[in-house]
Amino acid sequence: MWLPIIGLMLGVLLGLLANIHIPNEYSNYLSIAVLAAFDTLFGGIRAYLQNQFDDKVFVTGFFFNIFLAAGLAFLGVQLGVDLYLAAIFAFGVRLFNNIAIIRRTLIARWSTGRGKES
Amino acid sequence: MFSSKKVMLAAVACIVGFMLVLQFQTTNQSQEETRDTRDVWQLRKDLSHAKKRTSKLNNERREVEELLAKYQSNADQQKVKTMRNVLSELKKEAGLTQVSGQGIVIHVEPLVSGSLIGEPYHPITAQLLRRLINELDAYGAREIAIAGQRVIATTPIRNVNGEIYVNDRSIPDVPFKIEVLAENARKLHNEMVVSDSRREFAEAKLKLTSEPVRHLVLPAYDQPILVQYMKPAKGES
Repeated sequence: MWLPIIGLMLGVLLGLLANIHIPNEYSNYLSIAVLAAFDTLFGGIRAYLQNQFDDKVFVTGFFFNIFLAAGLAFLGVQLGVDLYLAAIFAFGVRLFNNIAIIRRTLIARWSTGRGKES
Repeated sequence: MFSSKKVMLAAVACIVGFMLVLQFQTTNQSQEETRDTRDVWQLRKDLSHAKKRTSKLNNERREVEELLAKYQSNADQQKVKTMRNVLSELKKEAGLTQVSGQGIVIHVEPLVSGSLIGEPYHPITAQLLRRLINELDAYGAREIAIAGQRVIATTPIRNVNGEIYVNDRSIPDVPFKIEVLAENARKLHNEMVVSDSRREFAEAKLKLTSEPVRHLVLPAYDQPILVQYMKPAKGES
């Protein structure tokens, strides 16, 4: 379980060292993309805990979701409809669901672990 | 060693972290102040400006402290004398006294002579006068009087039914004089020769001519000054 956290730290470090600034016009797309990435990441962790993890689904889902979200936001800007709200809503709901499942799984594991000990 | 699943998760987490930092930096950057891009020369200029200001403020402080010391001196006679001095000084500053000195006289005349029949000149507007006063102040004018009306800090210049009122008194139609006191009359005159106001007055078919005068007397402001937004401060006893 430590490897993903180390990966996250590594990414943060790289980002800090790279010192790249995104122009303000594109920061909207980036924020949507970050949300999508989070959703996929937590989805992956959930699948891992439930032993349903599939590399291909995970990696393709990651990139596909990011591009879909950014594309939706772009389309929304072109059409004058706030389509990115759809992405935020969908990803937000899924994020909560996934985190809830992760929490339950961890609690279940912890309590069964304690049950075995006693 | 590590399962490929974990490595995959770690790789994606790494990308997420990277994006997160980018997003964070971008939002933070937009909140930051704009960068200071002054070069050495500008910095030096600003520094000298700040130094001048410091010395000016210090001088002012010294004067005020001297005044305070005089107030606090025990002799009542001295106190009253100091107060009188300060009062007359303040009156002078507020424009309630006649002032004299070197300066310039600006004549406002129609651009085309009145005897010529043709396009009539436009009457002078309050806005033109206000801009002229702003410009004079910017060029270092000390005291200004428009057609015998002293301009002080609260002087209103208004358009009322096509007439110009300065200090709530109507000023005559062109031609009239604007008298300006300045530390350096010659310099002010030269600056008025190339001023924007000259062009703006010309567009209104009016001619501005200035001449430096060695000795000029400006009338006092003769109306009561209404103090609306100030209250006496409670001083320490």
